[in-house]
Amino acid sequence: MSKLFREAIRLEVEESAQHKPLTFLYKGRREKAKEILKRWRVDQGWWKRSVEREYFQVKTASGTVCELYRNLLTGVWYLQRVYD
Amino acid sequence: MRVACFFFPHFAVQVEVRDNDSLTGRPIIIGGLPYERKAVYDASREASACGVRLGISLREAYILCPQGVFLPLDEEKYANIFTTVLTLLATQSPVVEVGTPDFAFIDLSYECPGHITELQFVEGVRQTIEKRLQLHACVSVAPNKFVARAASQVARPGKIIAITEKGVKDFLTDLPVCLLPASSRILERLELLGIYRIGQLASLSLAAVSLEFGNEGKRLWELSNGIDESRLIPWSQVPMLKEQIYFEPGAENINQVLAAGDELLTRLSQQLKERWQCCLRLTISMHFSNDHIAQRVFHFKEATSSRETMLRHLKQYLDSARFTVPLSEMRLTLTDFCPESGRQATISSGFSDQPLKYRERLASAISWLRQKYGKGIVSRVLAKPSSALPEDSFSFTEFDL
Repeated sequence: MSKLFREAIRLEVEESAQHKPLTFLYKGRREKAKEILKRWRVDQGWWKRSVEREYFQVKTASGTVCELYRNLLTGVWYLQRVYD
Repeated sequence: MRVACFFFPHFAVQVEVRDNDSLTGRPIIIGGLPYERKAVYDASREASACGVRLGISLREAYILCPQGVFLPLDEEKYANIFTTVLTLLATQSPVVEVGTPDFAFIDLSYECPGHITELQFVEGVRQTIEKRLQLHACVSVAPNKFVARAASQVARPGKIIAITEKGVKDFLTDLPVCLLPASSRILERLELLGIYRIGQLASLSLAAVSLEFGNEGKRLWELSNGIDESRLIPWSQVPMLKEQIYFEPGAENINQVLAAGDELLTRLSQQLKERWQCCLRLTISMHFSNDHIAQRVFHFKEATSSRETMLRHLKQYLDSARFTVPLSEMRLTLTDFCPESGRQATISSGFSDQPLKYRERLASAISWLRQKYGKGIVSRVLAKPSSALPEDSFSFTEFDL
């Protein structure tokens, strides 16, 4: 099971030169991205709602698996989903 | 754009020599043992001097070079070592592209760290590869991918060829046309027309080349004039889970192999479940005590993380295989991961024997909730699994029984 945030939570993320998340601040705690399990991109044309996102399914050092994405239009990071 | 190309000539031979010093300077032929019906995968310079070429049969290679050292083909090992090379390159440049298995490109458009020149930077990378991995690369730096690739093929190990934008045409002029990425049919036709050098092709008009060779000809004409606008395609490591077991002494009993496979699959399945993932491919590699390697790849119809499913495939393989010599090592690799998927049971499935009664009870409960908390307290979820955006993958509507 997972908790999906309909309104993704804005995150403060420390990223690598290749824009991979290294650490992120969630609920006042800095979580370290230990492993990137999956990475994909979502593009949606302007005729719907212009969306360009790069998703990362990340396993943190504390063992939590979550989905983050970077809005490629603004460069801002969001938390979309947290797995149980 | 500035691109550096790292070419590892005879990569498989380099790996084998690195792992076994006694092979240095000997004619090595990789692909299998002489009596096997397989082709030569790679051959050392000493073997090539005897006439051994890539792609010929091993029997033919044995006739040409009976003193050759025939080694089994371990593609997995070469792929793993090349991945190590790419991982190392990825620490040096933000964009790394894999060409064919022995080529790698890195993007030098970014400022080199520490304010050193690009040549110093590339030389540093080459030396790091040589020092850490004991692999020798031919390196070149050029304004585009094609020129960089061609230059690395004519570069000597340890010496870097750097080509500037202005020097591209001069550099390509005397190179043979076989360095162009052309089909064998076009290469044959070029030879029939007396075109042996890239410069000869470049001197023809684009219209004439297009008329003769179509779109492929147009592309070749552009390349021979040093025009290549293709971008580097970033490489990313293919995720995989791997477990292996060594048998000492070698396993001769199928049940022993199956028990070991069961143990490996239990570990792999556990790792998959921890990652919330399933896999679509299982690769089984068996290494026998006589240096034979047998490999089998299973593609699952449905993604799975189940140990039982994978074990069934392993058992099927072991039942069909005939082992004549003891098994010394077994490797199991899982690749092609995808998220776990499952189907949730319908809300009424637990009451299949009395569905009507259940619906009435549900309607009564919802009616009571609405009276107490107001409208909108109970909603129906509409799932749209094809939606690309997770937040659009479902919506809530009024619950109506």
